[in-house]
Formats: sequence, structure tokens, C-alpha cells
Amino acid sequence: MLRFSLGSIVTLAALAAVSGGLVWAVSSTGAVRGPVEHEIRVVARSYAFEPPVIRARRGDSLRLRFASTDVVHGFYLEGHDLDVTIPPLSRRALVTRGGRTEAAEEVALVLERSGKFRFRCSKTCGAMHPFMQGELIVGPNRLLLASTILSGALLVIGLAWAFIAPERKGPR
Amino acid sequence: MSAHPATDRASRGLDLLTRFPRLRWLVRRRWFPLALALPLLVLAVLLSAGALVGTPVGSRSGLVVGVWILWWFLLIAVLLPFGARAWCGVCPVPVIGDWVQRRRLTSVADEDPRVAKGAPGKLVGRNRYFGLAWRWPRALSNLWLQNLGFMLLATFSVVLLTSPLASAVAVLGMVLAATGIAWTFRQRTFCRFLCPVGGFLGLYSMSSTLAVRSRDESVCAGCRDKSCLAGSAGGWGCPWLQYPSRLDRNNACGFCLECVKSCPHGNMTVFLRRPFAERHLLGWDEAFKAYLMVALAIAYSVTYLGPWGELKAAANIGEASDWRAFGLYATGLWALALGVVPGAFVAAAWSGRRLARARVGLRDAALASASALVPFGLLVWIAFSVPLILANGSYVLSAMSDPFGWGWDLFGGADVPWSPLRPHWTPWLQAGFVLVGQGAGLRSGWLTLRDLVGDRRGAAIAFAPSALLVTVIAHLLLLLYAG
Ligand SMILES: [Cu+2]
Repeated sequence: MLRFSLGSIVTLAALAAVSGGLVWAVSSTGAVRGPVEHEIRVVARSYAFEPPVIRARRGDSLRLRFASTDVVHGFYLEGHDLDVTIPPLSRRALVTRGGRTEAAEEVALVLERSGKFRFRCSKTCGAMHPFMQGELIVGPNRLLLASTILSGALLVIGLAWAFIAPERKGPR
Repeated sequence: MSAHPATDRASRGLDLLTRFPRLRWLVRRRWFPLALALPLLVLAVLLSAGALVGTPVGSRSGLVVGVWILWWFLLIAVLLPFGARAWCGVCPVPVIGDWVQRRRLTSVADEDPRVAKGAPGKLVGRNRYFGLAWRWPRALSNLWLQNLGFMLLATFSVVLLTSPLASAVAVLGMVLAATGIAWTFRQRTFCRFLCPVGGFLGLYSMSSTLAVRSRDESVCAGCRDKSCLAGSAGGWGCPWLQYPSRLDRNNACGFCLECVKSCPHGNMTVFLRRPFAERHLLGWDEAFKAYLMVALAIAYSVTYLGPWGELKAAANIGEASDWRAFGLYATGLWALALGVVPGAFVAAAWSGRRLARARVGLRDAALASASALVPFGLLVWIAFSVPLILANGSYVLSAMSDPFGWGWDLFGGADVPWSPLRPHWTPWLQAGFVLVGQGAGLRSGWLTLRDLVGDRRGAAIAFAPSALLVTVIAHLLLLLYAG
């Protein structure tokens, strides 16, 4: 059985601190460019969005236009209070933000938070509807960086610990 | 019983039935857990019957939403990690079959074998059963049929997940099959060797915090009547074909709690223990279950949670019926689950064994390495299931209020629009689960190899390639979930 000694707790704490600092450093270096405006035409069809992945950086803004090539779809953006109804063969979409719904050809959005936000179809459009989704990835993606570093560290530290730590006495 | 103790006996954990007398009272009632299984059977039959004639839209069907969002999430994220196979104890599928075998709901057909002759039915131990009560063939007394069944269901998962009709056929088919097998073969043969859900429940219950075990081995050693095996007036002999007093792993214990009731010494109990306690896999069938579950978790994460429409279209055979694309998808799924992932892990075990110059067989090394995939697989499946509830949980309220799409409003939620519950927490929770699974998996794999190889350094070297493979898969999943 594994029991956490003081040494292993200190090691883990040091590891967490180092990887945290590293994440911060790496993820901050890329942020030197100024904000950019992305103009994107989101085309919905059963059961995918085009483009499937939108990449931007925090501080950037999005100008989204919508179209559907088959039936009525939705565009619900996680974490952003935005839900759009996209009728087929029309430029105008129904945009719901802040509790108000109005028809619009374009949605402007300033990306204030970094991270991964999925956009999902919000209008039942067929069998695979609950899985119709795309991704908005706003850099710097600290979660990915931190979790990847932690995962690698688990392997390295784990094997090293198994190798270096003294043989435990006692019955097994 | 087995060469290596699956859990160290000294640390079996907290004896819940001694600690909580009310729980012991409940667990020893003859009507428990049947009192939960019966209403679930009624519910399952009603929802299935409704799904046969009601709305064809999956996200509005009480059966599809009830099974594939509510039940699945509770099963994988709550019942399994914290309650082992507690689901099997309340599962509605074998209830009718139990009655077919016993011809009674709660009482026990307990007889003295020396006196009871000539009566209808068949005595097994001290219990009388009806039906043929055949023994299941030895060659099939393993997980292979369950592995095959699960792969078949997994291949058509989109149809199951989205079509109320297909889900109803699956649920009612399971009940029928379980009843037929119960008439033909003894006790819970269906649950043990055929139920496609039972296979992975058994595997992942090894990681669970709950376990039915004997309290004091010396009581069992001095026990003459072996009621837990043969039955008594208090309870049926173990329906799961186990010898409860010697249980040292969770895999085949279905939490029916008969042994708690049948033991005249009150020596069977339920322990609360630390997670990830059991590690040893006993055969290739179990290892392949572990391999294919991890492979399917990856495949489903890509198909269902990814942004790639072509893949969804290919998997969606119910609607699109592009058989060529579906053929490619299915071939890829089977190749990944039964070829690539098992092959990679066996190769890793082989190379680790060479590196460490360990004098152990390839099979033993591979089984020991695969024990990493028990905690890892469970946590990855939990990670996969997070968005089901966070993004689509509100379907439960709406679909349960109008389960057949007939305009009912049972719980006042029929018109509640789809409203995700904190969906942007999803990547954080998923990354957390993957990391916990990786850590627990690496620990399990190394400890199991240490039991096999004998020394910790040798075990670390022998495990290193498999550990690297687990880490690569963890990175892949992190990229999918958070990247
Ligand atoms: Cu849609």
C-alpha cells in the first residue's frame, strides 16, 4: 500500500509549483500580439459545423455570420450567453443574448476568457442532434498545458519514485 | 483461493453492517433489494412499451433519455465507483427469470436434501429450483461472450443512443433473454456470462469502494453448513455461482446480498474500503475487457464529443445508411478495440519484461500491466460521460415529463427548453478525471508487477513501456477534452 510520506508530499508540492510556473511562463509569452478580429461564416448542417474548430486568443473578437444548408439548427456557445437559431437558406438568424431575442445577420463577440468552449446545436435537428458540436478554443489554453505537464510528470515522477525509494519491509 | 490476495486482508475497510445497524436491518430483509428492482422493472417495461409506439425523437423519448443519460451517468459515475455492482442488485432485467427459477418472490425454498425427494423442481444445495437448471459450459464460463456482445452493441451505439425503438428492443430483448436463460441454466448464468453490461461492471467494480466479504475468516473456517454456498432458510445459495465466504474480488459479486441473509453466523457483511483496491486480472478475457473498454472510450470520445461531422455521419447507420462509410467505421472500431490497443499493450508488456530481464511469462506480465487499465478505464469512461449530464441533463426533466411524446406533463418540465448546466466546466472535470485515472492506473500497474516480479525496481522497468502507453493515451484524451 502506498502511504504518503512527508517527502512525497513535498515533492508533489514542488512539482505542482514548478509546472504551474512553467505553464504561466509558456502561456504568457505568446500573448505579445494585439487583439485580432476574426470574421467567420459558420455553416451548419446535420450534424456538424463548418469550421468545426475556431481558434483565437483572449482579447480577440469574433464576427460571426450563420447559415444552414439543410434544416433549422442552433448555435449555443458554452460559457458565453449566446444562442442562435439558424434557419435554412436565410442570412438572418435569431440571436438570443442577455435574455433578448432579435433577428440579425451578424453577431459580434469579444473573447474575454481563455479556454475551450464547445458550441452545440440547440435545435433538435435529427438523431445525432445531441452530439452536433464544434469547438471555440481561446488561447492561451492553460488547462491543456497544465494537464499535459502534470500527466507527463505523473509518469516521470512515478517511475523515478518507484525506482529510487527504499524497498518496503513487511509482509505482502 | 487465488495465488495472490487481490486485496490485503488486513485493510478490508469499514464494516458498514456493524457500524450501521439500520443498514444491517434493511439488508437482511427478504424484500431487499427486490423492492427496488420490481418498480424499476415496471418502469423499464412501461418506458420501453411507450418507446415502441411513442415519439421517434431520441432526445424526447423517456426511454432513451432515462437510459442513456440518467441511468448511464448514475451507473458509471456514482454506482460503479462507489457501489461496485450495486446496480446488479437492483437491475430489473433478471427479475422475471428469478421468479421462473424460484416460483416465489421473497421467500426461500429451503429443504433438507435427505428428506426432500420426488418433489417437482431440482435441488441445488438446499434450495429447490425450477426450470432445467443446467450448468453453463465451462468453455464459455468467462468474459468472452460478454466482450463480443459489448462490441456488437458498441458498433451500433448510435442507433441505440438515438432511436427509442432500438433502445426498447434492446431492453425488452435483454429481459427476454435473461428469462430464457434463467429457465434453461442455473441461477444468474445470464448475468455472469452473457449480460453485455455485466462484463465491464465486473471489471471496474474492482476499483470500487464497496465490497461484500466475510467478516471473520475463522468463523467461516469452522462453519459446517456453508449456507452462503448451499442456501439456508434465510437466503438462497449464491445466485452468482460464487463461494461468498471466500470472496476476495468484486468481479462476480452482484450485490444481491443473499449471503448476508443466508449466513447463520451473521458473518457476511459489506465493507467500505479505499478505491482501486483490487488489481489482479485472472485471464486474457479480463485483460481484453480492459483493453477494449479503453479503446471504445477513445473511439466514442472522438466520435461523439469531437467536432468531426464525417465521423458522426459514418457511425450514424440508423439514419444515413451509407453502408460503405459505416463499414469503414465499424472496421476501424473493431481493429482499434481488438487489435491496435491490445497489441500495443501486449507489445509494451513484452518489451518491459525484456528490459527488466524478468523471469515471468508474457501472459502474466501482460495481465499485470493491464491492471493499470482498470482504474484508468473507469475514470476515462467517467470523463467521457461528464458532458452527457452537463450539456444534455435538462433532457431528463423534459423527456420524463412527457416520456412518450404524447403531450403529457408529469413533472411540469415538458416545456423546459434544452438548457445546459455549467457546460463550460466540462473540460476541467474531464482533465481532472483523466489525470486521476492515469495516476491510479500507473500505481495499480506498478504494484501488480511488483507482486509478480518481486522487486520494485524490476517492476518499475518492466512496467515502464506500459506506463508510457497509458500516458500517451492520457495525453491524447487531454487533447480531445481540453485542447
Ligand atoms: Cu442541428
